[in-house]
Amino acid sequence: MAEHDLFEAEESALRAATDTHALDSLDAGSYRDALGALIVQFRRLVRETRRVIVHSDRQERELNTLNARLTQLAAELDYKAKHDPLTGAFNRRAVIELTEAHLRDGTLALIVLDIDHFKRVNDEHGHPAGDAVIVELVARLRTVAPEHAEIGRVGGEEFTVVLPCMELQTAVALAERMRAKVAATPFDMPAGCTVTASFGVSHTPSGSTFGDAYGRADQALYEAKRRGRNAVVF
Amino acid sequence: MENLYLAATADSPEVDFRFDTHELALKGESYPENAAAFYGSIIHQLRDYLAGCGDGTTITVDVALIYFNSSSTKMLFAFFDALNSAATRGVRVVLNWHHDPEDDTIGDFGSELHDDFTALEFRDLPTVS
Repeated sequence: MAEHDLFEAEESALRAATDTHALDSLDAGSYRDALGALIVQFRRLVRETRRVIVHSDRQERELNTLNARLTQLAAELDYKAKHDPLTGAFNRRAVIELTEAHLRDGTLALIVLDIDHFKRVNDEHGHPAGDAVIVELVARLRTVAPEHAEIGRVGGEEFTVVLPCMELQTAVALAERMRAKVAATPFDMPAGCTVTASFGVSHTPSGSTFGDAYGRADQALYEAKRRGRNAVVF
Repeated sequence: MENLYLAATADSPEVDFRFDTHELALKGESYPENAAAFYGSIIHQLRDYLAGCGDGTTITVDVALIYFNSSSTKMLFAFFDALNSAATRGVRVVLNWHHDPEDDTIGDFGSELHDDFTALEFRDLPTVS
């Protein structure tokens, strides 16, 4: 037996009772005394056990509550780590992770877009108006994007749409619908001005990196800007 | 006899038993790997000390535990039982039960101790930390 036992008192009472029980020639008084001693220990044990269980159940309930809160906070933190707070779109780091994960086992089409002359919006209408344009732009992209498309904000006015397993022509057609959706009607601003964006599209085989996919789409985007903006290039 | 001091660790409370001034304190969290060993030797020294305390002695015990696991609870019962026995034979034992007023679990555990160890002079001390 260990040097210190959690049940030292109980074990000792049990030994004494066992010893007495093994003897069959004691007088009634001795057996009665032994039983009495055992009752004292047993009563104490029951009382203590009751207390311990109530106490540990309460602590367990508190831990469960804390654990649920922790899980919720971890989920919120995880969301914040992956999303742009303004638009709710994926942030740059999340876009890179998602793209690389998709490229590990499949092809991918990537749309990169940039708001045309965004600096002008900020300069003429102020940054809150600029923010409103960004929010509305992402909302417009969402109305056109298929369900599995992952929309991200990778820079101030630069966005991506990750399209796992989509063919190049399908992605180009989607980018064209997005461009039209942005340019079609004025944005909800005091001045009610028209906003346009330029689009670059790339298609990347499985096993490539984010850098490959992004580099070619960005090059196409640059070409769209060069051709006069409000255009889709692939 | 010599005083007993054990600094708090991540899983065991601070033990500050000043036998010379009859002030005993337990403070912190208690979930040691082996509660029987941790409290076994403390209780052993406590019993030796209590055996030397006479009728006129007043012992002040300050307990401020914020968390204790089941095996610690079992050993704490033995700890309070030793104090209660001394109190039954005439030593005055004041138990100051410190706890966060928001922590009902510890507060209620204190009142259960009050019910179970009737010879101790129990003082419930909810203190804002």
